Amino acid sequence: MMSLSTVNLLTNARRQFNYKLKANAGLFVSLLAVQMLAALLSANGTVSIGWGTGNSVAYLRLISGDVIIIFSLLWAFTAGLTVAANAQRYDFVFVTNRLSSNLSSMAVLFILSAGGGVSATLCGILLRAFLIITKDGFIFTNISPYVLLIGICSAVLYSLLFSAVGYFLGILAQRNKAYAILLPALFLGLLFVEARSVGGTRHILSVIHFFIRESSLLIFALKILLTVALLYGAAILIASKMEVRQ
Amino acid sequence: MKNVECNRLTKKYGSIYAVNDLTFSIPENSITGLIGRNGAGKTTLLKMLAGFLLPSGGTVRILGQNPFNNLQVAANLIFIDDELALPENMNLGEILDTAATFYENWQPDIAYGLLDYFSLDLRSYYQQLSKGMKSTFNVILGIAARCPITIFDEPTVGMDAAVRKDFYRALLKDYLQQPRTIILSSHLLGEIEDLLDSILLIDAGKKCLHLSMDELRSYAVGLSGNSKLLHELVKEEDIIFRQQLGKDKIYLVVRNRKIDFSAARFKGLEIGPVPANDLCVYLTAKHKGGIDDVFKHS
Repeated sequence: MMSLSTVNLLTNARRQFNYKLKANAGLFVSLLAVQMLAALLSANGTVSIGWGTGNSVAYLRLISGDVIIIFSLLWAFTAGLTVAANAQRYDFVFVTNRLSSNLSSMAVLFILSAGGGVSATLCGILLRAFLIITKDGFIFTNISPYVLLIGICSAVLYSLLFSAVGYFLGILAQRNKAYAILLPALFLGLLFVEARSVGGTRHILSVIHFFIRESSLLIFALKILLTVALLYGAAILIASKMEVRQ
Repeated sequence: MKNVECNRLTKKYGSIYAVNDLTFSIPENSITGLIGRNGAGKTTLLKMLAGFLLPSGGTVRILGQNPFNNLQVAANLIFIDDELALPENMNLGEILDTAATFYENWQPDIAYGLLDYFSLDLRSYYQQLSKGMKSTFNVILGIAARCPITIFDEPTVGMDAAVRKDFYRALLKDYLQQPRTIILSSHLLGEIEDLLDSILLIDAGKKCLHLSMDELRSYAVGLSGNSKLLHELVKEEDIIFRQQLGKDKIYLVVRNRKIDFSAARFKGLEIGPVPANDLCVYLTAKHKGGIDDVFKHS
């Protein structure tokens, strides 16, 4: 009798994590591309005002890393979708079950989100430094270590949220292909309806406010982490009854 | 212990039965051939054994457990088909190293040895390989993993004759070094006949036969001679295949039971064995006369 192997869930998820980090390495390349593109777009300033009296002219240019952050968050969302799609394909070649697959995907997305959030914030700083060196004029800037830290934390947290939403939708779409069409349609439809209904309840807006109108970093982090946990929990539940490679 | 057990296993897609009421078991340390025509339900059955698909009815037990979404079964089972979904950005060497981390019995020497023998470059990428080379790489994974349950679903698609022969030999060699439960599906029995301990023949999702190779070889006989004499000798329900050879001459493949061979010889009938592959084809044919039946009335 051949001796049977027994495997521990977390041990297997760790092996899978290493495998999937390599398998999804292309996402780091696309992150770099997205951030470079965003930096180029914001190199001329996101807002610029000019005014003059007599023969003197003044320009005010607002340089910010916002575009880089927004692009990085969109990237985080697609990273979630990609990791979900790849998990369905690559994981089942080797040893796995659904829970192990989901846990390792989560770990991969945590790493990707951390990378995305940190690099997006730093990229914004780099952009400003580049402009300080190359452009003339007075520079007013406020990047204290504390502000920077808060910036990084919130960028990472937002990336976590966006990647978790992407992952959840990716798993849902595997469950039934119809969701891949229905959900974006529902989202866009709701967006239009709510934009036109002045004075009515705006669900999407209130969801956004729930996160962005939070002044305490700690509570903000709790809100994000709780939402992320709910999304992954739902993904695990949905995936556990799913068949492989239909 | 039975390593693989299916009881009234059924898989339905809409109103079509891909697998229909299959009951069988496979003992440990044996090589079983799963034989059936295209669309007979081989892949669906194997995917249920591997825990990829949920049965619509009945039960499947691998190593005594339900394989669906089961990590312990997954650690002891490898499922190889003709095209595995492997990452595009990892080369063959990296994939082998990854496999080594997942399988406790992984044999790096055998993996690298086979890769070298079949002239596959460690640095090449899976998606760039030809169909036959992909299949070759897949079976290397399957052999080197040395899983107690090893399932190959049509593993030789695209391989040339020489590689196929080498693969069967490699599989047998490795099996002798480390016996395990191997299930090999194919629509061609001829090539793998010598490798197998037993065959499971399925047709339209149903079990046709599950016999040891020896039993299969004596399952039927081929008789040829005068049509009238032959029909006196054998019962209609025992006839598996019928072919008209001349005006009165006929060839019949018949269940090997209650046949008076001495009387047959006395009447000048020729008796011969039926190749296992032909027998499987006849058994799963819709018409007893094979393709000839289509042209009979025209």
